[in-house]
Amino acid sequence: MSSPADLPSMIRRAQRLEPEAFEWLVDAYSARLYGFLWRLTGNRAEAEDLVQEVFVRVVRAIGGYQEDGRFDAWLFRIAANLARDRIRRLHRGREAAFVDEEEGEEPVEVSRERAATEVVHADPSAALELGEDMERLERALTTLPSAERQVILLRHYGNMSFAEVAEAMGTPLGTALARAHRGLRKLRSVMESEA
Amino acid sequence: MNPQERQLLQRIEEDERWLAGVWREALPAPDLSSVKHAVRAAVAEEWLERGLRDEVPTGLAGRVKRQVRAELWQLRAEAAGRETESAAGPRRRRMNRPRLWLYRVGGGLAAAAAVALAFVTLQQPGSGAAPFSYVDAFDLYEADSVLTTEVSSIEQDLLDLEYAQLGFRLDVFDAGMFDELREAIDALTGELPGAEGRS
Repeated sequence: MSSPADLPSMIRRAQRLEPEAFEWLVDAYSARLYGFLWRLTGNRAEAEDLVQEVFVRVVRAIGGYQEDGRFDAWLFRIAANLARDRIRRLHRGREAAFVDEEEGEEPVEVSRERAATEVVHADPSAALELGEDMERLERALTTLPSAERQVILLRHYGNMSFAEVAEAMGTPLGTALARAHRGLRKLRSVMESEA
Repeated sequence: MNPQERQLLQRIEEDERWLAGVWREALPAPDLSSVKHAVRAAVAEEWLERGLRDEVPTGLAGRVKRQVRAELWQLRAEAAGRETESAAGPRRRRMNRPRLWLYRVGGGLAAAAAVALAFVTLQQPGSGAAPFSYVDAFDLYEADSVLTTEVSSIEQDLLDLEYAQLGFRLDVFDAGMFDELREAIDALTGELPGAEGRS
């Protein structure tokens, strides 16, 4: 069983490229990473691919990781960067498809919003495993702009401080705080109005 | 954090406490076997990259690649000929695939490094050549893989050399194989001229 107390020694072993240490890290973090990536992309298959990609990146990058007790933040920063790239690619693909359609004159911003919504709802089976509250929360999360959703997810799954969230997203601290505040207010308002 | 940010943080923390009360999910898990498989492959690749980065001499000119490729092609052709002769025997003993791969890639590494080192010896000093990195070394293996695939029409086993297939074969790679791989690379690099000077 993975215990947080073992983490520093597992990181050292992983830096020496011991395969068992990586197995330990996969066991310890994959569920949280999967939850984060699933909520962020809204698509289980994408999330599974991304979890794999995150760990492959970890193998390549862990030699340069400086242990400072913030491994979670480091790991989720990798996950957030990979997810952001993947979502951008998906959006670009969708936008290109929209332009090909007859209503191709639709403003780009509207297309982006529509693409984001479609990506988030791409996996209808996802909701089956959630309780009623979680279902509502899930729906409410999908109504948030991607940046606000990401801040909330990084805080929840990545146990990151706002300074770390800001760094991971490449924004000033005030922006990260404002996004979290706006996102949480909207979530609360949507959830309470449906209750 | 300035006073406005501190005030904002207080309000956020209240909303986060509310959210924590709602957010009670049983975290689902992805298919860990495929994740672990990919990680094992990545560990092996990274391990080889580190070995090459630390052990393959730097300072090689880019144009040496063509010469090395030709040399490797020759070696592979000879290897294929030997394999074919061996296969003609009554019951050829098959090596397990990772071990076969290990020896062949090891042989390729030794050949590439030896040719490269010889070239460097001829070129130095001050040839003004572009530095040769471990990435270049992997380009060589890619090229080697293509050549090997051509040769493999002679002997199917040579497909095992195709570097791109490494990940698919690592399901039979256990910790012991990593040790063997380490020992083999250590032995190969130890035999290179000038290896004593490198850590």
